[in-house]
Amino acid sequence: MSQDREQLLAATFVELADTLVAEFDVTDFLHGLADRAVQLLDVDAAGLMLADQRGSLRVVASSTEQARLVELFQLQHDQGPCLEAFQTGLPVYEADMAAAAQRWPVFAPAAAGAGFAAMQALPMRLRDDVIGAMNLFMTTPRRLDESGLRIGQALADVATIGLLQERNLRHQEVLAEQLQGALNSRVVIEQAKGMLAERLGLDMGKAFDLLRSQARVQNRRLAELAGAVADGSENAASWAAVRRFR
Amino acid sequence: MTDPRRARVWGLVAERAGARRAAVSAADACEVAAAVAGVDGAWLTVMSDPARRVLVHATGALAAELEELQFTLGEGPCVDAFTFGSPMLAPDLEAPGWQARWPGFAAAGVEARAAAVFAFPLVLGAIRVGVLGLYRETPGSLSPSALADVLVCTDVALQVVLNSPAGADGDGDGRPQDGWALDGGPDGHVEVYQATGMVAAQRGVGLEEALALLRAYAFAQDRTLDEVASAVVARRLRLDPDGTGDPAN
Repeated sequence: MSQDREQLLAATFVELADTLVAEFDVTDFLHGLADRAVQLLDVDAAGLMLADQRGSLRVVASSTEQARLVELFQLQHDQGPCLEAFQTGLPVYEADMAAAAQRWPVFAPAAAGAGFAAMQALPMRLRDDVIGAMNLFMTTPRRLDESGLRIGQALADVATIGLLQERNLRHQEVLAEQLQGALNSRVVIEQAKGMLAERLGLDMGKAFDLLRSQARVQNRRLAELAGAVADGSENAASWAAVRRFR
Repeated sequence: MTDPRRARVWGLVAERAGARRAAVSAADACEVAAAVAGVDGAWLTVMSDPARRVLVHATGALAAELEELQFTLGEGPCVDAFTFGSPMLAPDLEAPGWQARWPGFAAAGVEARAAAVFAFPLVLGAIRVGVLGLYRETPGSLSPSALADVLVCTDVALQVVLNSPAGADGDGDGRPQDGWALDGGPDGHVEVYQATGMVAAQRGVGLEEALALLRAYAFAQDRTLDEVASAVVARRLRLDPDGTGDPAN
């Protein structure tokens, strides 16, 4: 392993440990994980999808908020490497999206069209259950080496652990509560993005960056700030950070 | 694409409503939830904040009592589920964790012979409209499959509550015309949530009203909610105060 990657890996684990021990912000944690995956594994985009416990996969976090890419992630609720990884509990790799139309008739052309040549999906596992999958997108036909795969799987596993704050008999309930909470938080964030986009004349990507930036400034959970924007108790126009995003 | 679980649970709900020759109601959501979860009772409360609520349906006296207790005491799984926007699942009210968290409610619930209580918020992001509660007289967790079925019932309950004013329910079967119920619910329809926020900001109204405006517009224009939301997010469409849009698309 290169020294750079080693240092970044060490820093990532220290950061993750801090997050798990201190006051926990699920949404921020999952977004951070997606960002770290991109850096550590040298891929071009990462997304995390969770099962909604009713039978569908939903996006909860991604390394990019670009609308077309998020839509691409979302397509996977129906078909794609992420869904397969979730259903089988096994890693799924595609080396050549442009040629994979038979495998995934809707998803493969969309991914290729978005500029992605290869994809790696890793299941998020908890004992015998698979609760979702992490997917890694690459614009060149690369493949993760063994060390990369192990790190990627470890990140996916840490994401799962992060959703579960108590490892005791209540884990089933806690997991359900956390999953549904995380999924609902995502909706709050999307609603708040819409409000900010409209009020401040931003695109959705900038609206999200502003929200995240302001959450850091206020040392506040992302979803909680989003909720405050949504119910009107936060006036975004008064945030100093707005200047940087216009 | 309709997944089998959703289709099955909605089927149970529609069957019940059909037998009464009426639109899908809170009673249907509660009764099916109790049946699929294998519990002894259920209730549905409509709330705009923890202090203002209406019990819309309870399957029996104990269900009604558990609902009432929480609001009298100001604590309990429904209160927390609504406040935090995530389910509160208490498979055994006598466990120390719940006794510590709800000292009044846990004790009163046990005395009233409820051993397990499960509360599910009826939420769509920051739109919070109520809670679905379940109880069982014996302790124990909901199985993953039962939980999944109940979650579909919460989707049903959410639709019932959102439809209650003059919602977009053209044929009176309790299901919205914009296909949410069958199309896997609002999953993956990110643009619907974003458009809700945009319309709320454009019109200076709350999110629930903004969603109602979007749905009413979609219904009137015979378009899907997703299409309308896409147009709003792409700024091809703005909903005007008189309910028409700028169809510059």
